[in-house]
Order: sequence, then structure tokens, then C-alpha cells
Amino acid sequence: MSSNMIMLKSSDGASFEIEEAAARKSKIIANMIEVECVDEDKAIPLQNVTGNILALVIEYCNKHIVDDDDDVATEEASEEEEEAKKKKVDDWEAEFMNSMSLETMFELLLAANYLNIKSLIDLVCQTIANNIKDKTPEEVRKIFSIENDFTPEEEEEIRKENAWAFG
Amino acid sequence: MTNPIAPPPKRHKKTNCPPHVFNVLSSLPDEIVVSVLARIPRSYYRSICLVSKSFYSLLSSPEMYAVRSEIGATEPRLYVFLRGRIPFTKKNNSWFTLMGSAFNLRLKPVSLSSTYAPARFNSTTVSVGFEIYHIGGTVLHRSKAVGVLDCRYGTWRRIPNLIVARKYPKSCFLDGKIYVIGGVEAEESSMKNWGEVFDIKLQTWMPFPSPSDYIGVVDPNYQVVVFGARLYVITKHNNYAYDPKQGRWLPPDVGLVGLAEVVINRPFCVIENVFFAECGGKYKWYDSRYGMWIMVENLESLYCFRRGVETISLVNHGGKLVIMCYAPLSRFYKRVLGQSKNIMYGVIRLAFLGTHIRGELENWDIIERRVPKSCKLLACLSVSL
Repeated sequence: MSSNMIMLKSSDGASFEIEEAAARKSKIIANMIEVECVDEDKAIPLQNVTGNILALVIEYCNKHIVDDDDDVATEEASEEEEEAKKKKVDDWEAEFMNSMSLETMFELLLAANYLNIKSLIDLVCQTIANNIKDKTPEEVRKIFSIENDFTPEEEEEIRKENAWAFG
Repeated sequence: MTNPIAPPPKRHKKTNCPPHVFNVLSSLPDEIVVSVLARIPRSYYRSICLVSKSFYSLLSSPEMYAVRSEIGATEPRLYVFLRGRIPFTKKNNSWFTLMGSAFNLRLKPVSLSSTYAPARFNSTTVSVGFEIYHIGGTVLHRSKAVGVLDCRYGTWRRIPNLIVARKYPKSCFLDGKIYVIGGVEAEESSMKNWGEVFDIKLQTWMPFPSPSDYIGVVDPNYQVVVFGARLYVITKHNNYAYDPKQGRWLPPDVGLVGLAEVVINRPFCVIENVFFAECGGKYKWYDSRYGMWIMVENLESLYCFRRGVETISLVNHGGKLVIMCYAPLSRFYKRVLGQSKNIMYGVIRLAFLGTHIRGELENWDIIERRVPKSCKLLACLSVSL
């Protein structure tokens, strides 16, 4: 495992040191490293990510470096070991997401999207989806801060149409 | 350099979140909203789509389906085509979809938002993703027509006609192509006319000649099925396998003993590369190593109340085995209503355990009550939405 460290700088000026292997979870940062536009002494500025969100991103990346590096080892690992390992990661992810408010999740999602970390996007999207699926339209509007732009007639029309459109 | 790790964010109620968060949320790119919504089960869409016009259009957008397929979040949905008049809906010869929650499933008519040509019977149907192809058959005479039902929107469209008009053809989908076989008029019958293949990407039909001048010309008893990524033509004497990668027929194979007798005459389906069929009133699977039909275990509860039940169709429904049956009315209703029947539906979750297969009956219910005896279930297909 490479122990190269690189520096990331958040939009509000906080600096973070992170292992290169962890940082490579972000396609954007990986590309920057590939084309060598990373100066060893200079931090990579991330204009769209605040410090508290970047800290979460780094926490996630650090937790997930191992699984990519392990490709060779996993082939030999038994099924039970695999399963136990997966469960451990799942538990960690559940705990990680559980400590966040919905607003933080959205910010984290935007950051993951900007940094292009696919597995984190998947995780956050799924958690938000689980969170909002049981909410009423009114509650969802509040979360996304959107106005109801349907007239009552349109709403009625859609309720009728939905009988077949969405099962 | 030390990491100035920010304190872990505290749980806070959404009422007191900082104003900039609201800006973030209202400026979410559609792409992100779609990736969140795609992970919500479809059954919630009825409520979620009422949020706003933009939500509504995102939920019914092709992008939504694309993301759902990409992340493997599509859900199987059953569609059936019924011939005859269905009393409850007062509809003739219609397509229905099975909706509602378990134990409360009903057939709901697919309200077609575009005009649909006169119903064709004796046709063949095949599902591809979210679409159903309704191919050939008869209106007054043999037809070349092909209609495609887009199950996302309930719309029909026509695609290029078959090369040859066909009645009761057989069909299957394999590797981006739809194969349609048999059903031509006797005088047109030839090896060349035997089948044709539709390339979905190119939207063109090409002839698909027979592997032997025997099948379909001399012997009309055969079955066409996708098995092990090949197209199989199963006859009582030989099985012919077509490899789409090589684009050719492989030498005839005499394996799969005892398969033809069952699949030629009975409803069957293939799940996880295993054949399932009803034999002697029981649901069985075909063990290709020994050429034997073996009972799916643990279905005793299904056989308890099966007097007069007739299996019409078996369907691979997202890996589960769905059975569609006609069931007689109770004695009371028979006196009142005479010759009617119920349409029943069963869902069996399967566990493949090497030498045996165990079933778990998830649902066994009447989905349409007291339909006239003349009503026929002509097709039952599973699509992914």
C-alpha cells in the first residue's frame, strides 16, 4: 500500500492530509494525480466542499481503501470471511450515515458527486431514498424546499391517472 | 501537518438548519435528484410524484428508467392479455397489469394512451426490458403486424412488419434480437421462411432459416426456448442449438431426454437455466443430468386446494416462479353464475440447492373473479420497470 500523503484544502480554508490510496477513491483527484498536476507541497483546493463535509468524505475514503487494494487477497478468502467483511463494512456505513442529518446527507451527496466517488454517491442516495420514501408529498417538499406548483384540479387528475401510471 | 478534523456533525432537526443548506437543496441538479428517486421502490411513486411538476416529470422520464436499470433497481411487473369480455372492467380483449400489494392483487386494465389497432389473436408475445412485443397472429387472415407496448407509459407503437405473415408463431429474445419462428401458411412453408429475426438496434427483420427441413415443415411439434445463452429448438427426436455469437446452428444434440414430451405440450418456463413445468398436477423441474422431472419441494400447501385447477402459464418473474391458473367457482356461485371461472395466481420463491429445489409459496390468490368461461388468458409476461 502506498503511503504517499497528499493535501486537500476545503472551500473554507481547512487543510486535510490524506493517503493517496484513499484520495484515489475520488475520480477527480485520481485524475489530478495521474496527470501530475499535484504539487507535493501544495494542497489541492476543493472549492465546492466545506471543511466539515470534506472531513466526512475523508473518513469514508479511509475506511474504504482496503477493499480496493485487496483484490488479490479476496480471491483466496473464504465465502464466510467475505461475508463477515461485507457485514462489517455495511455496519460501519449504516453507523456513518446514521450520525448525519438529512441536510448533511445532501451536502455530502453534492460533494461526492463533485469529487466523483461512485460508491459514496450510491450509499448516500440509497440512505436519502430510504429516508424520504415514507414521507408525505408535503414533507418531501419541505426537505427539498420546493413549492407545490400543481393546481388542485391537476393534482386530482394525477391521482386518477396514477391508478395505472405508477403501481 | 495535523488534520484539523471537524467535529462530527451533530444530529439536528431540519427546522434549524442553516440557510445555505436550503440553497444547496433547491439547486440540486436533476441528475442527483434522479439518482435518489431511482432508489425508491416504484410503489411509492404514486405519492412522491405529487410533490411538484418537476418531480412528476422526473419520475416518468426515460432517464429515471435508465438509472433504475443501471443500478439494478428495476422491479418485475406482470402483464396479461385476456381474450373475451371481462365483466368487472367491461373491456374486451385487453391488456392488464397486476397491481396492488401481496394478497390484494388485482388485474388493472392498461389504459392505452395511444390508439391500438384491432386485437390480434393467435399471435406470439415476448418481453424485452420494459416492452412487450406482440407479433403476428390473425385479425381476419394471417398477419405480419408487430406492435410494441411500452409499459412505462402504456403506449403502443408499430415496428416494421414481419417478412412473412404468421399465425401461432413461437418467439424468444436473445442477445438483442427477437426470434420469431413458424406459423406460416402451408404453401409458403419452406426452410427459408421458417423463421425470422428482428435486430432491435437496427430495427430490421432478416430471414432465420431452419436447421433442418424436418422441423415445422414435416413435424409441427416443437418448442423454441432460450437455454444457456443459446436458442434451442426442441423436438421429440433432436434438439437444435443456435449460437448467436457464432451465428450458426450447432450439430444436433440428442441430450435432454424427456424434455420435449413436457415442454412441447405444456406451459413451462426457464429460471436460472432450469426448466420448470407442471406435470401430473405438480410443479417440477428438469434435472438435465439424469433427464428427469423432479418435484419442487415444500409446495404441499399449494396442492391442498387445487380441485379442478388448470395451469395456464408459468413465468420467470424476476427469478421467482409465477403460476397462472383457472380455478372453478365454488358450488354456490356455480349455481348462480353457471359457467364462470376464477383466475388465480401463485408466486413461488425458489431456492436452488444443487440436487433439489425448494419452493416457498409467497402468494396464492384469486386475481380476477367470475370471468366467463369463454375468457382466455392468452399471454402472461414479466417486464422490468
